[in-house]
Amino acid sequence: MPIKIQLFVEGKSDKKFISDYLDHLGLNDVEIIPLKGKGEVKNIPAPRLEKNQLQGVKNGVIIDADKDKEESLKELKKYANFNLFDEIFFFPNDRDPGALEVVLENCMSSTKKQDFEHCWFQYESCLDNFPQGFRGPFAKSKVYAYLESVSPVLHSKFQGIDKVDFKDSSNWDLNVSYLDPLKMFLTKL
Amino acid sequence: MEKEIKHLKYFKVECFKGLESVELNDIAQFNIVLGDNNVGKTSVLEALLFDEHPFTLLRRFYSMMSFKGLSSNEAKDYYNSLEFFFSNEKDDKVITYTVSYNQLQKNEFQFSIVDTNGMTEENIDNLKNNTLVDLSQLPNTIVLIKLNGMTNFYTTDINLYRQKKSAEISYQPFIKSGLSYDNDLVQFFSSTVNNDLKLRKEFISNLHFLSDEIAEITIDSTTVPNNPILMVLFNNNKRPIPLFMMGNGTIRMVRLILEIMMCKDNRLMIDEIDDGLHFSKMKKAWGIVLEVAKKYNTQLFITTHNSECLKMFKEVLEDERFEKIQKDVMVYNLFKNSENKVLNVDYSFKEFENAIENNIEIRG
Repeated sequence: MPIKIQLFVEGKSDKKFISDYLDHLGLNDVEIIPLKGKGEVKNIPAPRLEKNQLQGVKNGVIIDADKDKEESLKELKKYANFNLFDEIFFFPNDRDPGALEVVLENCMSSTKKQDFEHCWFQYESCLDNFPQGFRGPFAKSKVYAYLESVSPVLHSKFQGIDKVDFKDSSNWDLNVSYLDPLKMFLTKL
Repeated sequence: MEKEIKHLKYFKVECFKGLESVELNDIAQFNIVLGDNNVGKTSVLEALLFDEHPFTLLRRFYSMMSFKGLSSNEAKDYYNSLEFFFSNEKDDKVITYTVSYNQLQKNEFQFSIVDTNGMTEENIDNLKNNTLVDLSQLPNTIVLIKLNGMTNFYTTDINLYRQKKSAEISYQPFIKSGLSYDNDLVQFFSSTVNNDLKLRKEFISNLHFLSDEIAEITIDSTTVPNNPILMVLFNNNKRPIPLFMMGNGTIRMVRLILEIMMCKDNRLMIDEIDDGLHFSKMKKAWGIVLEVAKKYNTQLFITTHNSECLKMFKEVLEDERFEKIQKDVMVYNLFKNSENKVLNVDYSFKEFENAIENNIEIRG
C-alpha cells in the first residue's frame, strides 16, 4: 500500500509504540522514521520533505513536549524548514509536559497497574522516609520498572522499549481515552 | 584529451527516453544520481553524454545504441534505432538539452529527426539557408540540431559519426554497469597512456592508490595473437600477470582510474559504481576515485543503489583528506510522482550527511 504519511519520531522506542498503536487503529499508510534524538529534527534534510510533498505524502512529526510544549514548539520553529511539516504532535498528549514514558504510564493495563502501583508506592514512600533524602519523583523509573516487570526477559536482560509488544492487551491498554489526542492526530493526518 | 575545462553547472534534458523533463541545478564536481529501479538514472547519465559538437553527439548516440546491441551499418537502422531515444509521450521527435558551463549563460540545443517528405519547399529552403553543411541533395531522413532556436547543423551521413578515427575520438565518457575487463581497456591504455611517458608514470602512480606493489602495466601482443592484453607487473613478481586474471574489483578500479584520467577537465558518467566491489573495499575505492578525479579535475556523475556505498561515500568525505571537497558534492534523487512523472530533489553534502546519519532513505 502506498504511504500517505511520513512520520518523523525521536527514536526507535517512539517508533515501536506508534507503530503498534497504528496497527491497533488499523492504519497502514504511515511510514515511521526514527531519528537519533529530538535534536535531529532540525537536521531532517529539506529535499526529503520536499520530495514527500511532490509525491503527495504528508510530513508529520511527533516529539516530546518535555518541560513545556510551547517552548518545544518555539524551538522547532527556529528550524529553517519548519514550514515543510504538515502536522506536529507533542508527547504525551499534545498539551501537557512530558515524554513517551508518560504516554506509556497511561497505557498500562488497568488490572496490572493497580497491583504494580501498590508495590511501587511502597517503594517510593520507603525511600522518602530516610532522613538523608532520596531524590524523587521517579516517574521514568516507574515506567521502566513496569516495562521490565511485564516484558519477556531474554538473556537475563530487558531488551528495550523497541522490543516491547504494546499490542499485548494483558500488559497494555491502547483503548484508553488518554490516547484520544494521538488517535485524532494520526487519523486526521 | 580536451584541454578546455568543461564542467557542467546546469543541465536540463526534455523528451529523452522516459524522461519528460529532468533538470539538474547547482551541478558540482562530484554528483551522485539516486533513484528507484526504472526511474531513469541510467537515462540521465546517457543524456549527460550530450555534446554541443554535432559529430560528437551523433557518435555518442551511436555508442549508446552499441551499448544496447543496436549498432548497424545501415543508415535506415540507425534512424530507426534513434527513435528509441525520443520520448514516447510526444509526437515530435525532438530532444531538448539546456546546458550551462558557468551558471550565467544557458544554451538550448534541440536534437531531432526530420522526415523531409513532409516538409514544404519553403521549409526546405529555410533549412538549407540556415545550415553550416552544404547539402547537394536532401534525403528522406535527416538529423537536425538547433542552437538557441536556430538551425546550425544537419546531417545524413552516418559515416561521419560511425567511423572510428582513433580511440580518443570515438571514446565515450560512460562506464556501463557490469563493465569489467574488455578490449576497450587495452585500446584506451594504448591510445592515451602507453605512448606518453609522463601520463604513463602518472597512471602507475595513480594505481599505487590500489597497491604500492604495482610496478608497471604493459601490453602483451604476442601471447594471444590479434588479441592484445594488459599485463600487470608487481615489484615482488618476476612475471607479469594478465589484468583479466585479477579480481573484478581490481579491474573495475583500473578502468575507473584510467577513464577518470582520460576525462581530465571534462565529465565522466559511471553507472553503478559499486558494481564488482566488495563492501569492505568501498571506502578505499571512493578514496581512490575522489583523489584521482580531484587531481585531473574530472567531473563525475555516478549512480548507485547500494546503501553501504553511500555510507562509505559520506565517511570518506568526512575524512580530513576530503573535507574540503564536501562543497563540491551534490546528490540528485530521482523519483516518480503519482502521475508517473519523473521529478528530482537535490541534496547538498550536509543534507546528504544528515540523511545518512539518521537512516533517512534517499535512494527511492
